[in-house]
Amino acid sequence: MRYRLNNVEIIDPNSEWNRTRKDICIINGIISEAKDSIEVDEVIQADGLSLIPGLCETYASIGDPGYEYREDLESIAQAALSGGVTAVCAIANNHPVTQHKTHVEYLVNNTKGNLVEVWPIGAVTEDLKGYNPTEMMDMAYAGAVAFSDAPHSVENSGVMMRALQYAIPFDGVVISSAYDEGLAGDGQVNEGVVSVNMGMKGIPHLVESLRVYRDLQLLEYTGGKIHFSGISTASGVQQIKEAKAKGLKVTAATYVHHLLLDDTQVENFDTNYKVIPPLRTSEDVNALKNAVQEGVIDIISTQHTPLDTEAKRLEFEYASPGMANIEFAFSLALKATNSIETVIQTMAIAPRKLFNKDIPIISEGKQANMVLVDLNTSYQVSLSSRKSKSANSPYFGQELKGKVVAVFNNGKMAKNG
Amino acid sequence: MSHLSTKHLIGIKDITKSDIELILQTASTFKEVINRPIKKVPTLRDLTIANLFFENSTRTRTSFELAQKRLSADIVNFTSSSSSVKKGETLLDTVNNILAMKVDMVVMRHPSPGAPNFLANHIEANILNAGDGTHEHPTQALLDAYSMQEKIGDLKGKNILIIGDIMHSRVALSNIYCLTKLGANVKLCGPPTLIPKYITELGVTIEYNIQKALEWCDVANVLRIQLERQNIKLFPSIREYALYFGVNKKRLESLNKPIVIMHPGPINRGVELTSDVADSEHSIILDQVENGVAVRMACMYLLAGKA
Repeated sequence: MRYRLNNVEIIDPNSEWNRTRKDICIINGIISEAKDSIEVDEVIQADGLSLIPGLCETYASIGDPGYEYREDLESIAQAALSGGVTAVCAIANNHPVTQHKTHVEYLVNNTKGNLVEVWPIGAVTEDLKGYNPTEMMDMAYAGAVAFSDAPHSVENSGVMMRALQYAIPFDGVVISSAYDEGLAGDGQVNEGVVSVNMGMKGIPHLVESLRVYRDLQLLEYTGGKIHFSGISTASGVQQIKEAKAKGLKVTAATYVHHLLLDDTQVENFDTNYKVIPPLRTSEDVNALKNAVQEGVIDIISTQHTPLDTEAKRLEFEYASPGMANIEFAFSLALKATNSIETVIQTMAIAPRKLFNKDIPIISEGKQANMVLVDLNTSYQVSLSSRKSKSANSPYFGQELKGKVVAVFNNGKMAKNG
Repeated sequence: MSHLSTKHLIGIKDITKSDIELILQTASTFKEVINRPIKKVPTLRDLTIANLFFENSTRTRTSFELAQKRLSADIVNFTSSSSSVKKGETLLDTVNNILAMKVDMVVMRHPSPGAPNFLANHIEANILNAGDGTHEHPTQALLDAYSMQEKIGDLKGKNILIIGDIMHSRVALSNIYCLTKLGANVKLCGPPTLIPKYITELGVTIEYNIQKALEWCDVANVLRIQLERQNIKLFPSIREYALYFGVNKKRLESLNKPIVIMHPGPINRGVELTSDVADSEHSIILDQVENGVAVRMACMYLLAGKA
């Protein structure tokens, strides 16, 4: 298909067209400056709209294969499109766990060339149990972009160290969930006055800072490459800042809900706010926001974790942790950072840099991997029009700003309706 | 004010000082009722109350049941020692099934903190929390406050000590909210592993030395060591606990004034409290039990909007 976008604002720091309004054409997926001689099938009048590079979600539980009642390849793609996401990194907690070449190939082959591609993250250990290493090299060559036992951290330090070492020859990224499960025990919420008020055992900051410390020490020893998938505390931020200053190959993400919400949200036992790591204090939220601004935190992710009602409509301690927010990825990141440049840097550029993927550029002759957005219009998040199979998000019923209008990728286009 | 500010009684944290005072005042009236030759009033005869106990309880359940009978309410009892989830039915389904039989008020005990908050978001009936895990036990705090007032008068400025397993105690948390709202000074005593790290933010102080703590207080509320709620070892032995945090006669006799001894029961005799203390003239443990019926009558009466 051939498209023409009239009077669209391009926002892309890597493009010479950055912050200009132009008429452009997308012919068979290739971007060019519009000329009247170029015939098109559809003209989109884009006054007031902006084009940004397609986003990449670095942490998503996609349910397929194994938990298709929560999410499947079709629903994750639809949800991702609504969030302006053109690449979804799928953690390995499927059934079977993504731990062999064939598991990786299933996800790659079924989504390659689609509007939304799934980039598999392979397990570090068999069945995410923390003991026996998986065939990481074989998975890497089949298309796994990184390795992680998410939602778990690798508890055994020796196993984690060997994973970091083993990944060096193929430049593999090992992802750390930075969560000491033994210390967290049966804690349910952040340790603080909120946990006291709820009569619940708290999850101290130490759960994260001890594990970040360990993994950074291991990294310094092995010389591998590590990515922290969801930093939630001020102390975690501080350690990463110091490690970067030392020159270690470390990157870090934070989850968008940790930028938007603090632990007071759980005080009335609403299970939609139950996440791991838990929502932290407002001081942590501020530290994370600053860290995003300063570039200490490289990436923002939604930690997309779809769960069926039966896993959430329960007593707080029995409810499963997680939010399914990928379909609001763009709006939430915009709300959290209040800066479209930061959204592009943390959700389009930094993730692809981490995973050695081509960074989409909105420029003459480039492949169109981009999202048409309306930065100023607010919309009501409605349950009935949700795209994910799951509804475990606290944002239903709320008003969000910044709407995805259309997505272009791999020669295809879809409008977000 | 003669009405509660709330539809449910889930925690003391959520109610006002005037709510507490109204309940305690109403309880006095009912205490007079239950000491009459005919201990019963027809006040709630048009009401059906379900007692849902998802956790073992003898005294609280009996106390609620008696309170309901004294008020002439119709009652149904549902008891399950394990949680509904483990039985394969969700809590919400269980409760909705019972409510479908036209029940007006639910008294629930549940092992999971926040279970009554969860219910309150999903059902219409009034909910009275009879203890939710390690969260709150509002009627216990109210009957404790009532019993203290009865013994030492207005609690404003009085020194109240809570000893023991604060971390696993819904009684402690509800007591803290209740007593601080009534203007009392609250101090906690116990091994540090049994005291939540941030609890001082609730306006209480901590003293690890039992002798010093006892010297400070007017009333000592001694908590049961909740071995059943600990799945990791938080202190080394019962013996050591009794030696360093147990309340015994020798400790009390060394004080320069007598203090009031309370315990929410059931007592581990010889552990947190020795028998000679539990059965002494300074102990008001059985008054607490008696007052429990009056206080629970007051709570249900007020929740039913009969004031």
